[in-house]
Amino acid sequence: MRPIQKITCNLKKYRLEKGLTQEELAQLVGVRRETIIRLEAGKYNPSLKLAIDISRVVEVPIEEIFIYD
Amino acid sequence: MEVVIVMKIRIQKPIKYLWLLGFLGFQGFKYFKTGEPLALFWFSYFSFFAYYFIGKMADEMQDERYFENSQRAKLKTAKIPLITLFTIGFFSGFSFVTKELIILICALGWAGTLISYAYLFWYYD
Repeated sequence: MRPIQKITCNLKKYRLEKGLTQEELAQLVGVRRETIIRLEAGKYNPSLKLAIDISRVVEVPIEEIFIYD
Repeated sequence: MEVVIVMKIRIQKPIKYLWLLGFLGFQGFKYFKTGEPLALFWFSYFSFFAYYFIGKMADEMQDERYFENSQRAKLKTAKIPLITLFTIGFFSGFSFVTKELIILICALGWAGTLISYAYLFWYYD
């Protein structure tokens, strides 16, 4: 049986390091605050464009923000 | 830091009150008074109740998650019209299936599809 694969999101850690609120990050990447909330909770997988935009804003590589197990 | 200009797409406020047209659906009960089969089409106006959920999201920004949730809801509710059409087609040959029953199934299938889509969309979002 194939094991269930999961994406772990470390966005909250890097967002706080940058000193950004969820609302500010959402506005900077062009999404709603609810989307950022769900991203951080691991309940939503972003598109490639959104992942790149987030990576550029928090200045952390994508593979460190979103870890694919 | 790159500044992204966010355009908030705003749907006009009247859409929040369109769900009230759903009450026109109760006109369908006129069939029991007049016996006119076409009166049963009024039940399709129940589909306007879907705007209750759509109106709740009227002021939301349409980001990628918004569109993804819309697609998910459409995918799930697409089964309803398929089942409705199949039911009508399959049973239309039987004598106990009257034109009133077919009209009723069409109208309620239509309303059920739109209300289910709107509810699921709102639930996912």
